[in-house]
Amino acid sequence: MEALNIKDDYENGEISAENSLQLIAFSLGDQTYSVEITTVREIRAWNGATPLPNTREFVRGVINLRGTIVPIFDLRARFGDGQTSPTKTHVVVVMSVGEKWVGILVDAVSDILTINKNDIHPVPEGNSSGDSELLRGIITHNDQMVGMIDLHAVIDGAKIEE
Amino acid sequence: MSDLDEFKATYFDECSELLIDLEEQFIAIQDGDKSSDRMNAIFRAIHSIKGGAGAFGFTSLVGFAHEFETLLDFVRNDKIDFTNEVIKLCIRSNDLVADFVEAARNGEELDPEYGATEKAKFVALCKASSGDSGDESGEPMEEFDIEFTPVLVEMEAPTEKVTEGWLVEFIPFRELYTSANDPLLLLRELAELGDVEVKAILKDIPLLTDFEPFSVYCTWEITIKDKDIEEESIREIFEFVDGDCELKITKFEMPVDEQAFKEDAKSEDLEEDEDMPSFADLAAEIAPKPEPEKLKPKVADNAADGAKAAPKAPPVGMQSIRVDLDKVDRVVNMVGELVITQSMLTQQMDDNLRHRYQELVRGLEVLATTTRGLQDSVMAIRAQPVKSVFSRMPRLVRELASKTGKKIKLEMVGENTEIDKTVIEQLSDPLTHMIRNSADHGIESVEKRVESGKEETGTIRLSAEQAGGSILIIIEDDGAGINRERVLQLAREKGVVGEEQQLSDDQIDNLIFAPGFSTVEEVSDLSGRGVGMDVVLSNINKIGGSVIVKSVPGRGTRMTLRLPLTLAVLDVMLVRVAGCPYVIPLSSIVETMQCARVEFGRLPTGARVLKVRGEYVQSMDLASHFEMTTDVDEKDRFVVLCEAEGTNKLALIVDAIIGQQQVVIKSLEENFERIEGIAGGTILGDGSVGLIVDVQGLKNSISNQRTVAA
Repeated sequence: MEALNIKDDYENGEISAENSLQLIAFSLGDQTYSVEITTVREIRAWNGATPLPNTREFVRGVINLRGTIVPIFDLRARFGDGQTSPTKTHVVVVMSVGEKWVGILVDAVSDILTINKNDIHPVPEGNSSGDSELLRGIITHNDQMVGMIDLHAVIDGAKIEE
Repeated sequence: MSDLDEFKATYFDECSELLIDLEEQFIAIQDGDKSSDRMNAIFRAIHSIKGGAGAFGFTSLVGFAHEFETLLDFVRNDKIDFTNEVIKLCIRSNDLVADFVEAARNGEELDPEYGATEKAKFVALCKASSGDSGDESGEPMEEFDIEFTPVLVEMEAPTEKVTEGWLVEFIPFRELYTSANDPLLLLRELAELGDVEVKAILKDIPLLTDFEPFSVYCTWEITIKDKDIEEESIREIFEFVDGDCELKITKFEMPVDEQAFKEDAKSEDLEEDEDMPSFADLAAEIAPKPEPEKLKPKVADNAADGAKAAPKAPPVGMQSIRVDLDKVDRVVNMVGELVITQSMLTQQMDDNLRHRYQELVRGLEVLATTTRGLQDSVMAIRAQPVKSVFSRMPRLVRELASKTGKKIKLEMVGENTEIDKTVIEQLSDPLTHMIRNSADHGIESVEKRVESGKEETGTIRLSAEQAGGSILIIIEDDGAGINRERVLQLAREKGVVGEEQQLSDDQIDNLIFAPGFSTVEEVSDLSGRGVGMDVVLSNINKIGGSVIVKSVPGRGTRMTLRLPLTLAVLDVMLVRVAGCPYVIPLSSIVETMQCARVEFGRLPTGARVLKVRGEYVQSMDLASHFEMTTDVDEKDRFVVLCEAEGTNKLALIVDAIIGQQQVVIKSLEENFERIEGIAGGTILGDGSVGLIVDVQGLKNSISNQRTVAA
């Protein structure tokens, strides 16, 4: 108990270790989204991808990540806002989802956030576009809404079913 | 995975190796080679399986293996004649051991009666022979039988001096423990021989401060006070730890007091120490010849005997290590990358550069040779003789023969031909299916064979040979051949072939590989199983191989499998479709043509067909099939004529042909999922990803569309 008190004093009442969560925030248009930092493997500049046939429009294709083939998902297209027209300044965030490595294409990486798990708000239900299923929660950072991406939902349904 | 699971996995790995070895030994024995070396090899293998099974508590396996081992021991000691009857029983039992091992591996429990008939036969044989042996040799019974009949002692008495007992000094080395042996088990087994006194020598145990947990400090002295035991029996118990311990077996002839006895033993040990290395040979030398006079000499004489035997003793064992296949695969992959990078570098050198940087050119040439050499060596590591697949076939044929009541002989040639392990893994199922097919449909019943003037016993010949960059596996039978009339009739009924379509004999033969075609109306237990030879073909195609059937009515059928030596590196043609790089396996390409120089026709369905050399071939525009748009003018595009299976061709239309190269196959499924029409990906010279076209898959998607349309 004593140790805890000292820590609280030291951190001046900020977020305690066991409750904190670090996120990488990135921008998509004027929106900010985030993923847990522990899932992120690599951030690299957009350098083109080989398109995959018979996949949905949000699958931008595959890239070579040091000898491994990694699929790239266009987050904007996944959210139904049409395909991104990527430039050299666009960024691919490579993450591990379960056993698989995937990359998502975003406009830019903006920040690393440290938040308290208790500050995660649930996503309001009943959104007709189904976007709520792609988020795990919402947090507020600098008075701005930051959606936490549900990676499993994002990469799901990539293949066009006959 | 827990340690125990790991040990178990190793045990089962070893079991599979031993079973393969056993199968080989039995085949040799069946062919008339009944040498004692073979018998000993078999005995040791079964004993190893039993030993491990005991450690893991697979009781039913232990039970069966034990009885089998007893029989084998009688056989190798010439107490039972190795008649054909016995050989048959042994081979059958070997299959049963394999079943027990398989059951144990899968964590299943077999029917308690499983193998009971065979067990009963073992016991009957052993009993019969021990009755005889009392009259003949006067030898004591096999080591596992604890009950000795008084008759034996009486018979032994007049021929040789009575042994009062044995002193066994057992000094385990560290290796004994590291290979997971437990002295307690050995001592227990010793105790089964007779009255045993075990004394642990603890004087070497250091103070706890100096104690090293992995060192060995404890040795044992075991006195066996039973005069009927042979030295051989004692040695057999320690057969497994041979080399991992020091073993001194001395015999004493009078019940002397402990102290005097020990000194006696020590003095003998001194002489013996010089000859220690020959002890392993000694055991090997003695084992097959259990005549009393061989056993009588004391240790010193034995050692001399052993030294004599040394030159013909087997070598210390193959110098090999067990390596996780994943590690090898990683090396194979990296070498693949290296080969591709190297060929990319070489391609970058144009004439201009060649003149300017001659040193560089020379360096690149050396690099090319070295990488090729490296690639060959690495592939050789992963190469395995096809024996590991072939060895399962004799059993299959035996089972098929007994189920169908036919007489079938299996001949195998070229089992030592080596192929990449990944190919071998894919080979087992198709091969099993084809052998089944030969036995079930090819070979006729005994009556029919006699009627048509053939030998009663049908022959299936399985052979493997290397031919250039591929391996040929040929399955040949001297059966009835393919019944072309019936095949064609069935194919017409099932709509595989149109009513009016005329086919050549070869085309008819290859119809057995057509999807949804099976020559047997009723699904038979053996080869039917609802799937036809089309599965064989698709499995073989998947690994880049092909199958051809040739049949002579009344004389037999020959199926030839052509397989690539390796799956790691693929020769491909690089093409461009709608600005994206695609690669097509060279093995499936027949020829390439410019679109401007060929004729297309259009079917009422809208499908385009290509007219090539009087043949009409289904064509497919890859760009539109993959739902991409291309701005290349039709007449500037190219046709790649592919052949996925025996008779059907497919013309793929691509934008441009870039060139030919070698690529390493990468899985798309690892991080994504399977995509129709794409067999995988590969990293191209510029670091981008190229997609491998799945010709077979494209072909199937066309026929699926057709069935949907119909």
